[in-house]
Amino acid sequence: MNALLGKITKVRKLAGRKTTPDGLRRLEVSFKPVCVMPSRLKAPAWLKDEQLKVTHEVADAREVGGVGDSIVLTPGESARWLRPLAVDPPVARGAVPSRIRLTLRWWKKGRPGEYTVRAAGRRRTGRFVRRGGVYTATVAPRELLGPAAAPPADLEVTVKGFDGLTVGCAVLPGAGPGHYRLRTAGGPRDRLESHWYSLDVCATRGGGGICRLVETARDTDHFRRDEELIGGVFDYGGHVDVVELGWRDRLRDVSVSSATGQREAEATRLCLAGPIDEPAGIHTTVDYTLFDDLPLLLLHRRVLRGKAKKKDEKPDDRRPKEPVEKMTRVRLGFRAAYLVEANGRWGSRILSADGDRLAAVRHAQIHAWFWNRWRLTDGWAVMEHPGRRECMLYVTDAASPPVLGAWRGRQVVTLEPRWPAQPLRPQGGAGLALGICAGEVCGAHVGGAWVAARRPAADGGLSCALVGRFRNGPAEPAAEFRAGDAVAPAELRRLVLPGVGSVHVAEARLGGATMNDRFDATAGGVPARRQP
Amino acid sequence: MNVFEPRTFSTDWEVMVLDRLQRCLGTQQCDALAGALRADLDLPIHTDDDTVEFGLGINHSLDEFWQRTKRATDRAAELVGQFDCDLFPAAAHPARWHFNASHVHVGSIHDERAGIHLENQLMRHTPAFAAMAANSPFADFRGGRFKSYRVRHLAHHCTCPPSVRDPEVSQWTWGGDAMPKIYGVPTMEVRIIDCASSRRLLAEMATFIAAFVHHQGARIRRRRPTRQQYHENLTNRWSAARFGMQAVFLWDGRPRPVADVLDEMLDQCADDLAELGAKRGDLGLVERMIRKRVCQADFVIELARRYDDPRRLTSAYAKLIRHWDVIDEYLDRAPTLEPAEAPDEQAILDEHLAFVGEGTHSYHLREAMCYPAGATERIIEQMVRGGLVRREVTTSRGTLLHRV
Repeated sequence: MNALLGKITKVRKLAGRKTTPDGLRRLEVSFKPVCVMPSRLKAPAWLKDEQLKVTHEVADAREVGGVGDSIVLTPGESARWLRPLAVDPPVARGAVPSRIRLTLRWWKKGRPGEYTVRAAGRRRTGRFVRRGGVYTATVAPRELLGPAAAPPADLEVTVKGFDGLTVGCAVLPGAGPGHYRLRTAGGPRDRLESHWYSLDVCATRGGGGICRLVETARDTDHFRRDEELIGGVFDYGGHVDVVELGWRDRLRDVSVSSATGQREAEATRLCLAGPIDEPAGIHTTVDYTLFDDLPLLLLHRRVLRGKAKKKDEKPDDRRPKEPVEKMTRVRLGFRAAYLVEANGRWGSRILSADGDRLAAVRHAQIHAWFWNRWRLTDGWAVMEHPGRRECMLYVTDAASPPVLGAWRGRQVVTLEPRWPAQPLRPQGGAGLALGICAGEVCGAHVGGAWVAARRPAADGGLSCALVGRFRNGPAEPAAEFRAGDAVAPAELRRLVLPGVGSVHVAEARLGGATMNDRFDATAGGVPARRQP
Repeated sequence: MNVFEPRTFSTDWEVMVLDRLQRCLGTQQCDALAGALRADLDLPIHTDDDTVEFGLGINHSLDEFWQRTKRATDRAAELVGQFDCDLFPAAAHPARWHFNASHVHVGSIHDERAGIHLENQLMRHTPAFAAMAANSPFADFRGGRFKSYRVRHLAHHCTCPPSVRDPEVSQWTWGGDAMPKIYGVPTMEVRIIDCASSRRLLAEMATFIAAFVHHQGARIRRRRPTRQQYHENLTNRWSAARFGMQAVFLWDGRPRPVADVLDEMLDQCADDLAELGAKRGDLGLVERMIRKRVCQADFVIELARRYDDPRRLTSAYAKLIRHWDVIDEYLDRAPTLEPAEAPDEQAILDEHLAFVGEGTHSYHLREAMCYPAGATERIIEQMVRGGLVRREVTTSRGTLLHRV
């Protein structure tokens, strides 16, 4: 999470009785916000020229410093300034909510300015009322949208004096697949939903990456993180692609903006595009296609090199040019980060086929890199967290698989494959395609791997599905799902994903089973892995 | 006869510089500042990888070194202050992959053959210096287990456990914990020393180390360490990194607290200290560290209890240690710590086992305690025989270990 870095304008020692029992002194620190850690981007516009105060407990006043020194706040301390406005509910389904509640956790001196709620080209302004330590307001959307208003609708909330701060309430037709834009206090998010997943794409960093992937039925965010650590949006949880131009990842700070989200046949697709290096004519696009009825996400990333902007001729440019000078090294990859599960003897691990062996990688040491020129031979890798029954299958083109990379930090474990570098020519391009399936149980064998998920069926029982990749097709063309005493066989059918190649999927109903029953599956002769 | 003539010493003290956005200045900016200091102070102040490297010239006494250290750091703090920056004399950055040292150069030695014998001889004592100087318990988002992650991680291969060398059949090398550096200023360089956060402590440590090396310089033996001695030294090096002044070394097969080892070393080099214008009583901070079994790392560990996040820790840490006396004050008020357990065979096995996850290349176990191939192989064999790990020998991936 982000945190504020400020410059101290005043330090005041609080009176004697405020000293804590463990002998720490309480200091009131006044500061001007300067930037947001860890990116060090400027602090939000609404904090410009503001003097803020925090109280810190210190053993030695020199820990805080004096006027002109910087101070780094915790994400928790920073939240009321970085995300001062909240709307409840942020998402409403099926009907326009009778009321939405606005909460302003921090305001500038005096009374806060008016809020404005905009929807359907109309707007309503009002004043906040102080309640407890915050200012609140309640708005009836129907007064704005009309009594017969029906979803979809998009309510946008701003507050006078808070330039650049917009939050909102997305009113959706009902539960079901689709795309909508969320205006969260942490910034805009594109949310895609299927019957299986709800995922948020953050377009403002990393060229558009996934910062949240929730398996809806279990309410499990596979990319959850420790919110009290200062970190970028994808650092401690999320999927982000990597585009090295030269030696450096150039996607890290790229914002993609021209987003469209659309329903396609039994899927929702989100397309994002933006410049990586405008003068050099290098752009990126990314498409997320979320299947409605399968636990499957398809990701296509492209890097396109168009015409470079003409530069003024410099003395150097009068030297003869060789074709190779127009070539740039490009290397693609991705980084998927998860909260690490580790207890010494078992924990988060990566599974993949490595020639004729099933390869497992589990770091025992913190800050350990795995980088062994180890190709994902069959174009699949599974990240498994056995203790919390979470797993994620990545599938890619087996004809040109990436090399496995992985890392473990104190709180995070990553899967970071990289494809071989290649020349990027003028008017050329490069790309990667990934199939992603997150679920509850997995199987992995040298011959293939799968991940299975389940959800309550509309008419009782469970809907189960799995996605797998098998080296030479499944040894047996069948899968089986089990929950409690219920067993359901299913046919494994082949599905060709553009850019990714063949995967096999299976779906079945488990009548009479519930989400509380232990879930298990087998597919293509590959049994489920044992879980504690 | 002493191979050191005249008796001199100095340091290369690598100090980071932070701006008010808490960024480390790059080498280019550090070079500009170092150049200005060099011109002002007539001292060989340079840069090394995003630090200002305070070379403090050739010193003959504790007082001369101390006066120069004060003059150089006062002027440097003033200069960087003009750019709203602060000196950050830490051996590691809690949120950045960066290690810094206070190498101690002990001169003057012109006989490289004698220097190589001395290098073999000093192997036994360098871990004690590492324990005394331990000051990097938080480094690049890791922390808490070692008091010197810099020594633990070989400072990016800038301070490595040495091989046993023979002047007749060994090549020139660089980056050992202590070694002769005849090709430049003719000194024996003790590189294992973590960057000091206290300039007084630096002066005391540098004088002590110089005196002890001078002391050894009059007693050069042409004997190579035995296998047991070599392994003991490596185990002690690990203990120093892990426990700092709480370490208990293996000393001729028996456990011995590093504080006692240092105490004895101080006594042994009393005459050599006198040659450098110092007596044991002048090394008050070192004395306190020995008496209380504390080191600079303990100060940082105490601070980090209130600053979980590495970036927040950096902020508080940097603001504290720019005042040169916080460590000195800490050593006054610090509680006396208990000695740790000496690592026995089980502890050594466990330390190696902690490296094994799944698909762990057997070579990673060489990082555990820097044991050479033979010793590491025997430990792996023991783990396999004991059913603790499974060994998978592959043609393309090498030998992989899996925790059972």
